[in-house]
Amino acid sequence: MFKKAQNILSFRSIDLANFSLFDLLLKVVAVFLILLPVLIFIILFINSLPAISKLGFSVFTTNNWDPVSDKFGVIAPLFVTIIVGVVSTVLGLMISTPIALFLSFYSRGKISSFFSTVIDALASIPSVVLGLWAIFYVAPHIGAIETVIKALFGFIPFLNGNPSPFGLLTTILILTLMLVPIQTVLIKELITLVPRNLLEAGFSLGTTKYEIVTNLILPFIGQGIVAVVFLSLARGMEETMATAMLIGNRPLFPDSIFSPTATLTSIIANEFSEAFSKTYLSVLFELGLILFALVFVTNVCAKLILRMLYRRFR
Amino acid sequence: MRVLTDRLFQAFTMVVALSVSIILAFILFQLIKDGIGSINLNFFVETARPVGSNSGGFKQAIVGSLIIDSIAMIIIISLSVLGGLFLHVYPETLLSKILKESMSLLQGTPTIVCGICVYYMVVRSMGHFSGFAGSIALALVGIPYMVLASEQIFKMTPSLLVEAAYSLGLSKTRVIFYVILRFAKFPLLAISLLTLARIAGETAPLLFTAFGNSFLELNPGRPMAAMPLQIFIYAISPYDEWHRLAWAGALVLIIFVTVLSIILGRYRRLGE
Repeated sequence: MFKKAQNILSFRSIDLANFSLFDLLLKVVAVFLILLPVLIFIILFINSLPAISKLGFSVFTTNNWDPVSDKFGVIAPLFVTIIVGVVSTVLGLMISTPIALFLSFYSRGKISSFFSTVIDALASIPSVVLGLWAIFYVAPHIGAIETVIKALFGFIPFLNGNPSPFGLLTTILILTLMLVPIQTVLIKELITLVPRNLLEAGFSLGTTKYEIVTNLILPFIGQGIVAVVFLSLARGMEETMATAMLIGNRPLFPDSIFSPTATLTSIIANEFSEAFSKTYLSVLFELGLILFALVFVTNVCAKLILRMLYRRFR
Repeated sequence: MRVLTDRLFQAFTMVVALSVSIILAFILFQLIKDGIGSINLNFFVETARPVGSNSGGFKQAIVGSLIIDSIAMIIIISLSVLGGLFLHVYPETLLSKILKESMSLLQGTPTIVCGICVYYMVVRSMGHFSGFAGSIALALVGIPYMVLASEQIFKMTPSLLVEAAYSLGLSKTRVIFYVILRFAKFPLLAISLLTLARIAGETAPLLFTAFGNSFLELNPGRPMAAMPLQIFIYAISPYDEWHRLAWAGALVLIIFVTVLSIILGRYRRLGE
């Protein structure tokens, strides 16, 4: 009997030890995972310190990218990054909202699942492949499109420039194509938030689907769309490969929407391995830090809005 | 009139949806058209050759991708399953709330930023580029998706089973091993494959970590080629021959990625 008791005791203790050990492992991993983004921020900050101390705020006031004479102005890439994000987000919304409405109201069964698969497939294309396709099948034709735009809308200042295959417009078009699937999925999700009984009440009044969409759905999900805008803005600004392949990499202020220029990501991707001086490398880390902060702020805005929405409707 | 507007609007949404499908069909068609010609035995058994020899293949990139991605997946799965378990076992605690926020922060981190951070941490301290550094950078990209998705999967364990296990006197650890993990086996496999599909096409984190290599390299401690990296290098080169190889590589990559993510479409939304 004594032996049996001992057996149980020892078994218990092993079990207890085992339990606490595994528990400890879980906690250690959790803390480690929490520290990852902090670590990324610290690394970016430490590495951009030399640039910050040497150049100070001059990076935000000069508009000149000349690594040889240590002149680095980030206004142009920062501006271009935001422009690319904003314009492709807006263009994307114009395409993705109708698709989301089509998927949730005007189609069902096989047609709906076919188009959902199309959206999924589009979302899964790696950006480097999309960039490759754009280099050979979009860029050569961009010149013609740009000439037409210039002829029609040339009186608007930003639309009047020399057409070039690689530049802002090409990048924006491809980014739009990348953002469409993300936005479609999110908007579809938002539409499911609309209370079922409101919809049914609307239909029972004899309204058409179009009236439901314009009078009920769109006002209802308006706030959610703002969140979608922020989310896809973040995606658009952080996109690297397609941008680096298509934007032309000329780190200057764009003269027009056609001209080759550079974004924060494309500068890092193209110049990081060629940075010849310590300040240069450090400036590139600083660009990373700025990008990190920019994407962080937009993501947090989106999160806050979405959280508010879910609290109200769930 | 009202019905007409409705019909017009329906037609409009359908046209938009159709035109996006047509663009996708265009992309796929041109990928196949330009890629299929260069996919032959040479593509799989030869490494890169200098321009002009009119041969050469993707062997070093395919092997490199396999090695880099499998190391990355080992890191991702081991860390994320534990992280997901933590979220499941200690829900609503301060630590798990912070963990969730930090995962969504990491999810939003630009992939190129992950790349340059790993460059500083690993490549600088090793003194040279390496496939292993590439794996770590890819792991940074994949971990947040997998953590959040695995937590959602653990949530699907029927509470009946868990309570039955506890009532038999099993310890928490045993419940985790015998009930929760066993129940989540297949969904975990599915989301691992999805994470693999997601990181297999990532190029930006590899630019300054794995760096690329024209020769077959089996040692992850040395610079390594990878499929997306090789496609990028060939795509921006000025040679037709390399362009053809880039198309072929893109075709192989996209077949892998798209097939995986369409098959597992049911699990796609998890972790986003």
